[in-house]
Amino acid sequence: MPVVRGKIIEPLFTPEMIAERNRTMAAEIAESPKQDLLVISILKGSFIFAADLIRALHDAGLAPEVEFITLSSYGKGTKSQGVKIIKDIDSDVRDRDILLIDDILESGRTLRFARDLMYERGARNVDIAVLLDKRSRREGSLDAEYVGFECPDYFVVGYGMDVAYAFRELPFVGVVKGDA
Amino acid sequence: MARILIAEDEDTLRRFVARALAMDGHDIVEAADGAEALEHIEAEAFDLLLSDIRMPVMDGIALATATADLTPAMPILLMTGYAEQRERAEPLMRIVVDVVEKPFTLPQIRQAVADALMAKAA
Repeated sequence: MPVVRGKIIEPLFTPEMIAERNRTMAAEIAESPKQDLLVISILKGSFIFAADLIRALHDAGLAPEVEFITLSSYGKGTKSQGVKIIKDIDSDVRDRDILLIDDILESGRTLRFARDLMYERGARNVDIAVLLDKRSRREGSLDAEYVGFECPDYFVVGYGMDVAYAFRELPFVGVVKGDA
Repeated sequence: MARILIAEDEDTLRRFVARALAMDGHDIVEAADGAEALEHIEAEAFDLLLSDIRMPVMDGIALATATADLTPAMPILLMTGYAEQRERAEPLMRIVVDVVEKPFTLPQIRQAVADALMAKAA
């Protein structure tokens, strides 16, 4: 098993599995006609997934514009908890089709906020693509239109996802199993 | 990115830590005492509990014990500025990853959180 920074990392989803899912998802996304498609990557965890998925979208015949947004989620109480925009997109989303890309869908709080925000700003349609779906953690109803993998409730790293900024560079999604 | 529950009755400190960890990309839920925190733990899943020891209603020791019963896999990190509170936590070291001493700097609490998250799967 790979050892990184003195930790044993057990791969959960290999680079090959991820590449295959990205190709399939891109083909599914390209199936329906898109109106001035804008892809928005939700930073920071999704940067590698977004980089691979947009290139798969190109291979599937799409030519989207690409933007980035940074959100932060903290606060007291489940219902009143706020999501804040740390870095907004620059583009106008009015009457456009939007594809939000995130690494992982858990409670759904930030993705729900991002989707509602784009609709408030006049987007024509907002779809969500996530690499991992931790359905067991969902609060309320929110489903991603495109899901790479259903993910068991492990704390995962790699392929953009971190612990204290580390392990983002791993080409696979894995679980930290302890010291090597 | 982790989903972290912060239990701390001191509003200024809780918000400071919450904002800093949220800026690191974590999804943060805040509770002002142990009972409020336990309600969240019963209803939602978290990757880490970061709790003060001395709190009203239900303190961090009782919260840690109840949390370990409910969700044995969740790492628990306690914080305290009092030596005698730290001693009270010593019998809990089997269920608690660490006790962080207050006052701490942001890099210190970030590191403690990172270590606790990595200890989870180990």
